[in-house]
Amino acid sequence: MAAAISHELNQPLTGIRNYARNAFYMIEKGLGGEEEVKGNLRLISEQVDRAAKIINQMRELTRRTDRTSAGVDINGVVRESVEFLLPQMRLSEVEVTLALAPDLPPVWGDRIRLAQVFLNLLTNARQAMDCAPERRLSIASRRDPLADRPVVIEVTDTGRGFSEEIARSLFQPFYTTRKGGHGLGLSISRAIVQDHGGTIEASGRPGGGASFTIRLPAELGGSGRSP
Amino acid sequence: MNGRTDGVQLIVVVDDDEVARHSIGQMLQLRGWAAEAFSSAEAALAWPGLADAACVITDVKMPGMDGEEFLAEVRARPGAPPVMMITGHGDIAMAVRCLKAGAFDFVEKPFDDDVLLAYVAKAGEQPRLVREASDLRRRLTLFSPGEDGRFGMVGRSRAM
Repeated sequence: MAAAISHELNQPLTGIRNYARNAFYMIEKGLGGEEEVKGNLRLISEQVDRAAKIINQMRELTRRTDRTSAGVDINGVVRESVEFLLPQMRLSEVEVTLALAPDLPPVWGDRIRLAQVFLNLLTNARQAMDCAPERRLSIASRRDPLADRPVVIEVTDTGRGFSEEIARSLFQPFYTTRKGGHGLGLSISRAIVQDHGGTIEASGRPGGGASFTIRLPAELGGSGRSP
Repeated sequence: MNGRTDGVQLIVVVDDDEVARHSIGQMLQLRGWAAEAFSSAEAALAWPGLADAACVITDVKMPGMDGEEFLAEVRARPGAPPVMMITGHGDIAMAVRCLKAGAFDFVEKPFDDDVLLAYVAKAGEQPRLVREASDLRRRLTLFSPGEDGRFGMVGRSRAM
């Protein structure tokens, strides 16, 4: 998450710094006219807007929820998480597909922590597809009306996948298959899902992509439990 | 040849981010360099003028061919210009890989313009230094004794 924020903000920051230093140089050396210096100030202002937009998206994503509210719209959390990571997905040439059920009941929970789960899953999927010839990521939500946990979300990628043996260890803290990984993302994700009364399962095969399924209980009216 | 007939050195900038491309190009032009910018490594490689560049500045993270692959492609060409890499902040492992693969140097985003420009100036000197070194090596061979202990040729001496 921190790496994603740093990468996204560094782009406008680099532009701001360059344009400011160039304008300074123009004035100092008497190069270019007033219009050119003004042009750079306008470009700086555009890059400040770009940075502000990124920060606002993050704020929306990490907005503190009112625990007495009617619950969390999981589709909204999924959409915001995808939107936040979309620039990186584009950079990695990942094709993202969303198929969200419109009749999904709200979930009682903490919006920030649920968003963290999706950011972890989506980031893992992107990294798993680094060397894949096909890079497709699909996020689907559906309602399973007869189940105890009727809110179902599936995150599927066409990445390198994993063996059954690895699947058993994936959610263990500090277990990682990625060089430089901390092995905490999935263990934290599982803890968050369990705190919400839900389950998370992984399935995949080596070279054949991976799929993560989250099942969450629906909000129980106004007297629903809080996480 | 790494140079242009008008004596102005050409710097090639490769970055998928339009703002980075434009602002670096402006920075170079203000200091008297000619800058040619490309939004992808593929486009830069396809450009015939690449061989005339005094230095190439490239971002590492780009869709399609990334900066590391681009570096390898440029380095494989005869008379390759020096390549400066722009890396994300804190990505030291990648920077080390680039240096081992023959990058001239790297700067981290957001970078200080003075630092980048100093590297570009240094890189621009490289073809001249290579030519000088080769010239000196050639002259040293001429001044060194052969296997028979005799000098093959003594140059630069006035006729007696």
